[in-house]
Amino acid sequence: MLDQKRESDMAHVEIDDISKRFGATAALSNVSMSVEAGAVHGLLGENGAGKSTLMKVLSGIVVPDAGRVTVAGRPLQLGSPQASRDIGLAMAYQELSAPPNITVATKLCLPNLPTRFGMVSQRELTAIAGARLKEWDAEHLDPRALISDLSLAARQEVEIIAALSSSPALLVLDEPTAALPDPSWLFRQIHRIADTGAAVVYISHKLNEIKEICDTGTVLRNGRTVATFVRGELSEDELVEQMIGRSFNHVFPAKPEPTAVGKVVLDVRDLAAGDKLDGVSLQVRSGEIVGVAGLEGQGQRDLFYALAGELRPSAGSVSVTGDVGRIDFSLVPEERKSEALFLQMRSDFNLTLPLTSRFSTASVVSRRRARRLSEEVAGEVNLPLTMLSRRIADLSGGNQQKVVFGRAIAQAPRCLLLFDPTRGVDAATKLEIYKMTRDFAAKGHAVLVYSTEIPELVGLCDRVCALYDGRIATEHAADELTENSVMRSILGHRAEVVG
Amino acid sequence: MTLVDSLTRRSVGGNRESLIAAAIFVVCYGAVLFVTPFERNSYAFNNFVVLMTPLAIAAVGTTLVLITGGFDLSVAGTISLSNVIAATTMAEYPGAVWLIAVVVIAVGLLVGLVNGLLVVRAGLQSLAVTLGTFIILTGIALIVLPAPGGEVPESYALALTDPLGPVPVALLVLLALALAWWMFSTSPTGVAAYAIGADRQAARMSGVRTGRVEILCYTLAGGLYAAAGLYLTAITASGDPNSGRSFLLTCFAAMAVGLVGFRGGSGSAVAAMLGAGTLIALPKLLFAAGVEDFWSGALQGVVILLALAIPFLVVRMAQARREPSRRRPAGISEGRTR
Repeated sequence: MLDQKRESDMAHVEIDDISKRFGATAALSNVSMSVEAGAVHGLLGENGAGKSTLMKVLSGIVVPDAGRVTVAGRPLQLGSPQASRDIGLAMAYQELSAPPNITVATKLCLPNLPTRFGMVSQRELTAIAGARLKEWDAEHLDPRALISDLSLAARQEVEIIAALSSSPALLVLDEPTAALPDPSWLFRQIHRIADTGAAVVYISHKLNEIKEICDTGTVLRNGRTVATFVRGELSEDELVEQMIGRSFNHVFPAKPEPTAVGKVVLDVRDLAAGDKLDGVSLQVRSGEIVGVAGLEGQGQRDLFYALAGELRPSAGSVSVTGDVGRIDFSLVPEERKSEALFLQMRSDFNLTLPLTSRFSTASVVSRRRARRLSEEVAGEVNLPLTMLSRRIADLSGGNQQKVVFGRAIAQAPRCLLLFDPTRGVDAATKLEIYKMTRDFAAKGHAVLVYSTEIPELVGLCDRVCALYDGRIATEHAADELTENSVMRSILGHRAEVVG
Repeated sequence: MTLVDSLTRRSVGGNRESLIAAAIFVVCYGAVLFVTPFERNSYAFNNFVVLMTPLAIAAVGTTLVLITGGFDLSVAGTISLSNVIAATTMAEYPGAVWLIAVVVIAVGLLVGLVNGLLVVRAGLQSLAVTLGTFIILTGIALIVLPAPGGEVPESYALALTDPLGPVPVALLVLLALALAWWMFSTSPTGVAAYAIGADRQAARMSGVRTGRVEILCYTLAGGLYAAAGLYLTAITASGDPNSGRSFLLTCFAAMAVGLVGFRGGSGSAVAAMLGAGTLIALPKLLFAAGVEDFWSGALQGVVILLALAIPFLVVRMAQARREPSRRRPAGISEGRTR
């Protein structure tokens, strides 16, 4: 009888009444969730809804105030990373957990490296890692490559494979496609691991992915379970409503008539920079949002970082003319945590750092004026004022991005550069960022935006340039801007082939 | 992989640092041999290796900690304490000299363990913790031996400083240490130490037991400082409560010349040992070149800066060829220190 019960509970994960308070805020209130063996369970919620806290409870980093977790009928000792690992939990972290100075093979084998006479056996390490890469259809990755030499997408793949290959009873994937240009590889592997009887928790902001891969799902809001669903039960709109707690009509702000845009602000001619960017010409007019589309590594990063002055162009010219704005460019960079934020500092410091000249007299900073300015900018980007005095590392991803965005527009650039501005940002904040971007353009600024999400570019931009192999393959004007056409051009199809 | 590649990649093991540090050392020591004929004999060579050994041993310890991203200032205090303990007890119990040596090393290990526990378990900053233990240990050393003095049996001093046949014992000590370092750095614990120094959080999330590894590094470092103190005692054959003080700066200088990354996660203790050799060779070279004594300090600083510039120049050279998208923009810290 007992044996039978155990058999039927294989890899069945039950999360019961988990509660956790941090000071005055309840991060989780009586959250329950259950995942069947072999099923993929979607976990949705805005940033700050409690998803990460719940995942940290599962992985043993955070000790909950109440509640229990059982995996395959066995109770999990909460608050011990070792116990979580032993019970078969594997996690692919959104922030990617590979130290930069180790090899792919080392990451794939941590924490149990194969040894010979007490020393790590490189041969065996490479062999094991090679087998794992092969098993999970990722033979294009070199096991001997250093993590720091990999692209973000490759690092994401390594993170996922490391989790997959630990034969997990419960696999948690936190925003696994944030840096993956094509999720189909991941979905194939998820099906394979689910077929082995593992329970999979899939956390994502991308609703189309949730719809495609998840059998069941849970929506969290403000630390509470607000909805559970099975595949096909809720539409995308209904899911978003559950997540943000209110309905919305339009995801993207209305675009102006093409005649409403003004004269050329940004004029790039034959720009080449870095290894990839190889002669790009484009223009952005005042009031216009121009999108750049491209698969990973087509030169988009070189383009944006060369314009921002981070990379020296090897050829070409860039000119910026405009009536509004104080400086030529400001950039919202790719990696929020490492490139944009001072994680140890408060939000208001992060928000106003480049603006010190506006609240100082004779090199003496006025705290009162700094406070006023940071409140002003926070107001512009709908950042709650209570966040200003908090350490930025403690803010949700969405609020962090508001700080980065607010800092960029507060510098009043003639041309605003947004590099994947909604990565790892919750749905509600995404909508706000779209609206703020449009409002900023409407004031007469030029905006150039790159995004990994084609629907976002199509919905937000007036025009989209598709980059392929360091050049602009096709430019899509407003009247021929569809997801399909942009997708084809970034894959390298010429317009005439599309027909 | 081209040579330039191997010189610009920052990875576990620190082979590129060892290569560069070896080149710097060979140039410096070669120059010493070239300009001073009286250095070109086995006696002088033995003296040279003996002289660099305490610094080299101590620098291995500070490197061990620095690779995990921590700064260990207790090196100075531990050396002083180990020196005065040896100098006050060994002459009194000549039969138990080696037992005393073992006890002294155990004291060093204990000091390191305390450092590690305070840094890891109590979550204190390594710089503050080890500054504290440095001051405490110096105080204890003054209680043990208030003024320079004491002695050690001649047999003890000669056993460690005289050559064994044609080979200096000091050289054997250093080679053994280099071998031990190689084994450590290629062990799972060593790989974990590098990973922790580069990104502690990522290492923890990868399942590495970061606390254990860090505490082990501090502990081993403490033992190495004590060993350095014992070797120093064999050279000076006496005790001085302030004998360790000069090691504080020279250890960090040796690591700088050995290109151990001060942000953690990179470098090699072998390179730091070679850096120690360079630091010993430099004053000899400057003396032989007729540089006045008070200039030599400044010139040593210049050499450290030059050494630091070498990898920078190599990287610059290589950057022209490498894919820029792989490069992080300048100024972004690659690791964290505690």
